[in-house]
Amino acid sequence: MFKKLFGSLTGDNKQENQNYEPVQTSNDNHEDNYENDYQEVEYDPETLHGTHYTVEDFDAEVAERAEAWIADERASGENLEEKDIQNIYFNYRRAVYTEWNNCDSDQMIRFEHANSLKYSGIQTSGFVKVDDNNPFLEPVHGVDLRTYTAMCLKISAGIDYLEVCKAMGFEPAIWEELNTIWPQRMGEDTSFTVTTLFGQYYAENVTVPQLENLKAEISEEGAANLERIKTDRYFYEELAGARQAAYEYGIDGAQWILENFGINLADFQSVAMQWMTEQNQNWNSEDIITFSDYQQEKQKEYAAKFAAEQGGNIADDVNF
Amino acid sequence: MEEKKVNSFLDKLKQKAQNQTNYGGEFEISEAKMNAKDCPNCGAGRAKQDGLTNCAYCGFEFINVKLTDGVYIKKEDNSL
Amino acid sequence: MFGLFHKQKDEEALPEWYSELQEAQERWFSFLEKLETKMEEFATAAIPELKEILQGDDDFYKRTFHRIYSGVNGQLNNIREKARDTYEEKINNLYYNLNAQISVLSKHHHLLSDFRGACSDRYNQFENQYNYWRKQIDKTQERDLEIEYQKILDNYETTKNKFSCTQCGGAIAIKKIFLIETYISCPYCQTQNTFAPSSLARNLQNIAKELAEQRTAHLLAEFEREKDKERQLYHQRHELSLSIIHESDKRILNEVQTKMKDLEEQRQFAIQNAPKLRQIYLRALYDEWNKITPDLKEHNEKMYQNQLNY
Repeated sequence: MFKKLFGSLTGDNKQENQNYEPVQTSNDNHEDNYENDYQEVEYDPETLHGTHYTVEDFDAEVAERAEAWIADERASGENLEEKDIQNIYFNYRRAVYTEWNNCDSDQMIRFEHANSLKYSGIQTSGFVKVDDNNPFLEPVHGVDLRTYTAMCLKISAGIDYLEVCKAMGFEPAIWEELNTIWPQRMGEDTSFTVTTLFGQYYAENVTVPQLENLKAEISEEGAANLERIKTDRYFYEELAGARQAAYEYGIDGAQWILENFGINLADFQSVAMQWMTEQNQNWNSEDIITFSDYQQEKQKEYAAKFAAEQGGNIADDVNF
Repeated sequence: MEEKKVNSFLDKLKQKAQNQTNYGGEFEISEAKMNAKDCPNCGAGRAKQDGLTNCAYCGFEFINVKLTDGVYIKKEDNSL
Repeated sequence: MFGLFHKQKDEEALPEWYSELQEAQERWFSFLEKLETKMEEFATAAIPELKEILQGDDDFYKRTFHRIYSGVNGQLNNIREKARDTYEEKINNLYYNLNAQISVLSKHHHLLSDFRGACSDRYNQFENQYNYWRKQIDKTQERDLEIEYQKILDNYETTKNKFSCTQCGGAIAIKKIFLIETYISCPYCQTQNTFAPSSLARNLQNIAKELAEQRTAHLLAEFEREKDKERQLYHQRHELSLSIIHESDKRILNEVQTKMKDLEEQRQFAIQNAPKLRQIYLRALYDEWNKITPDLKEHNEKMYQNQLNY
């Protein structure tokens, strides 16, 4: 599907073949992988621009082509809105990047992720860029976002918030303020810096010294399963599919995972964020499709089990 | 016959949903409450003019962070 | 329903794969009809049940209701997927198989494209049915939030003068609905008391936006009507322009062109007016919201600005 969407942009079928490389999961292998494939182009690790041109040249080229198009449209009486102009720039950015680097759509998307704040004003998980003076990141009652996230992780892992407050050394009223203001900032911040950073900390399962001794109960089996979803993407996809199937049969998926696999919601979501960040950083459409197909397949398997427990689906007797 | 299948499915679904444990446990509905916390160290009460963070008499730390302007709590609530 | 097949009968020698198409199409139509019946039966049984469960769910977050709601949607989804998979397997596959064998130049090729067109039209009809029921089920979540809001107000009114200072026993009046736990100092001895609002009062924050939306729904509808006008007027004008392609009568031409001009003016007005109505709606929404939770006004106003620019 992705190939259909983006394939036409690359205009080079030979390049497409590298999508069929064997599945790579670890970061390091990936780096090696595309560096080998693109020996002719070296990328700046920060901006993912090719090093054979400057960013200024790139931006100028995009602007020149986009402005020419915009002038043309206007000359023919089109009424262009801000949204349209952004779209025109977006498309030319893709075209110029692909052309100048002779790259495939995956590399282009990695480039877009790495530059999303610059070009669209929106942060992308795995590429968060933080300005020191961002007022949205000022601590609230002396508690920074990282610490707030650590508290959230403990609470959604099942630890009583009163315990968490005690360990932090403040009264519950402070927590309630934090838990009002941080979510408010997430809503106010149109660049999504607060939200993506919260997600990133969540994925890292951050903790702070004050909370280190607070441990959610976890069974031996739960600990083993947790370790496994962190390292085995297929197992993670299986549980994600199962969880989704559970909801479709009136079962609370979070509780079901806890009861059957011993993994609490905080840990599960943390691992989900981890995989999402990894996926953003090493964008590979072939892998993405493989994993999403696998999750769907598993979801169907679990759905069949849940259906059987409820005497089948209501339309089971309808046949073609 | 069709009716029966639909209804029995719904009944099972309802039963199952009702018998499940809620993630995070039951939610207790509570009434509004007023409380006060005396200093656990010296027993003194906490007075408005002394701020919220420290005991005015013995210096005990009620809250170990520096208060900023929040929803109801303001930075003036820091003890001096 | 299968008129297109009968028409062909007059022609000489239909290809032998034609009966296969005919059968597949008949099966597909009746298969979808059966699924639609199931869907209707299930949804009409589930909707009153869902409403009743929502009423009776004592859980603060209505979690039992949500589980059942999600299960009901799951079945609807299951039916939809069954249709999708079957379409893929029985209709599309057959089409592609035959399409690979039959040249587009064959005089019978149109039978194949007619088959596909008819099947996909019928499939769209099924999808519309699905969307309709899905919407009806969505609606079971709606509650009259005015009732819940009134409960919160009543609870506040009856309790606001019942508190006293834990230190000196002096009366402490609760001056407003606090959304979260906070400190209140005694007016007599200045002792800092902590005040924890009731669960009901805490919930005000959760229902405030939806309540404000309920109160301003008519303004949203007005904006949306205006927004839709642009396309409607465009199509009306377009149809008129087609109607005069072969017109030579000057008088009629003039008449229609005047009408077209008028429609275009109306369209331009709608284009200008829709954003204004949107702003009126948003302002009213946030005003209501601020009335319900004045303590969140500062935050809400930032959200208003963001939404205005969006």
